[in-house]
Amino acid sequence: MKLYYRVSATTDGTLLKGEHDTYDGLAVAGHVQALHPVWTGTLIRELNVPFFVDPETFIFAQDLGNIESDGERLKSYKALEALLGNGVQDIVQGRELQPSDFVSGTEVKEELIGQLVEHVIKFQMTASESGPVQTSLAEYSRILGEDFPAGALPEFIVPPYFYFRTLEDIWYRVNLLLAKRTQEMTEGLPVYIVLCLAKELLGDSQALSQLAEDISEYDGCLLWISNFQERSEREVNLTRLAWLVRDLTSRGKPVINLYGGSFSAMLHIANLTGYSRGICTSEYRDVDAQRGEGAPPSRYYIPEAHTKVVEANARRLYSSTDVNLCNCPVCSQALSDITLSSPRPAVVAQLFDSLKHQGFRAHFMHVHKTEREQILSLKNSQQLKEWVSSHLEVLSRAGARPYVPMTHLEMWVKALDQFTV
Amino acid sequence: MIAEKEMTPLVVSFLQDLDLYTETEVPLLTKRIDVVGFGHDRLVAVELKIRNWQRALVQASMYQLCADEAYVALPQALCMRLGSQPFQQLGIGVLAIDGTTKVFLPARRSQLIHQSLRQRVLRCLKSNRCQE
Repeated sequence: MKLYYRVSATTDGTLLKGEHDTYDGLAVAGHVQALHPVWTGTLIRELNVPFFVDPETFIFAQDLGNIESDGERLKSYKALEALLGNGVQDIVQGRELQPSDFVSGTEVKEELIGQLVEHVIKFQMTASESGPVQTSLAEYSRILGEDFPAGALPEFIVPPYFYFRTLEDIWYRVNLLLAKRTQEMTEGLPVYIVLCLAKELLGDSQALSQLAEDISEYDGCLLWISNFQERSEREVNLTRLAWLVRDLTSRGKPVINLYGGSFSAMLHIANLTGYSRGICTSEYRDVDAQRGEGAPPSRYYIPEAHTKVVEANARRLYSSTDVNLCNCPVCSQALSDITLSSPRPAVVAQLFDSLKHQGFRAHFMHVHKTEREQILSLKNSQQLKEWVSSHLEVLSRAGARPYVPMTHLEMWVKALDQFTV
Repeated sequence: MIAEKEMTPLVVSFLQDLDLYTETEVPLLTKRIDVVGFGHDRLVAVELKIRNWQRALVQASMYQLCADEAYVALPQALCMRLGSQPFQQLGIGVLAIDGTTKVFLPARRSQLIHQSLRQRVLRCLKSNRCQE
């Protein structure tokens, strides 16, 4: 079970370098690579971990107001549209992409499809080369017939993709065409098709079987159920997700959940190969979410709750309950400078004062690593259920409920009860 | 039924009658305290709600991190229906609003204060820039 951290802001760089051993790879957001190619390329080379690039093409078929601020398109998405080729760029400067731009009845608009695919492949293949020095080195390597250093290429190529609501949605057909063309134009590298779908499809077992069938000709799949929130879904949807993963992986192809958290980690029992997420953020995403370019707010991850809360809630929780303070390296280091015999609120206050925003995020990376290790050591739904239940009990006994959401843990227990492997 | 924004001036004048300066919408980390009364080394924070008293209770409990006393202000009829028990356990006080403001349950002095947060709130109050 691999964890890919989503690189969505340049502020992620320090943590990704400093906490290098807490994750397996990077998921580079296309708009970040487009706006900061040198920074992204340097980061990929320095970290030397597996990576893939999310081309985020779907965003140009949703409401373009989602990527605007005060009527202006955000710089990073402007940069991204410029990487998709003139054909797409010309359209999205005036309106959203429509399926009819790619297919019309039986007619397939080969030129636009080919151009989009070519550009999307190119900017993924060159993600680590960006920057004048590295580009020339890569160029020299090619001229000399030498291999460019291993690790410089993405782990797999992601075709352009769009959000679909049903399998009858023309966007689904367009996705298959784009993926097929990507496969034809990519030599030597695996291609992972993206299933970016509506939550409602989870209830359509016939459609899901068809999806499993359709993805089988690709090397793998990136799964994104729009706005699927592990923290607030009812058990029926959580169970359906588990069964979907099970179906998609039934032919031995890797499946990565594009946005997921601890529950996704638990889906190793359904053979999920990996998941990506931001650092203490982005465990889910709605295709129609308004995009911004600012830093996410500070949240502190509560290990027993497998979720994050705003700082005030975390301070209040630890100040007045006997829930153990975290012993991750980051929190332990902060606590080592604090007189632990002081009253609990004073200790908690000093801990949180010293952690600050980056400390919260580093804490998350360590805690999430540890919890993933624990999850992976549990081999079936029964063991996972007992593990989650034990955390639920700790929090309930401590009276944590007003400060920490716990309903999701109850839902996870129920879902694990229904997904028995 | 009284509206939430009608409660604000009633609570403000109640706090002013206690010889406290007042401010509304005072930031506390990512939250905002509806009304704060301060002065004479005393800081009182109040959460106003018309109906959702459970949410008010949780919000007010956060105020115990910075305020000496944390209150929820609720319509009097709701106070009468609920009684004081749900609030007593956490030491949250209750103000009953019905044209005037009365103390339905006095708050216990907070033992949970985080000095850094208290100082931040006080700095904001003294600089008169809480609304920004």
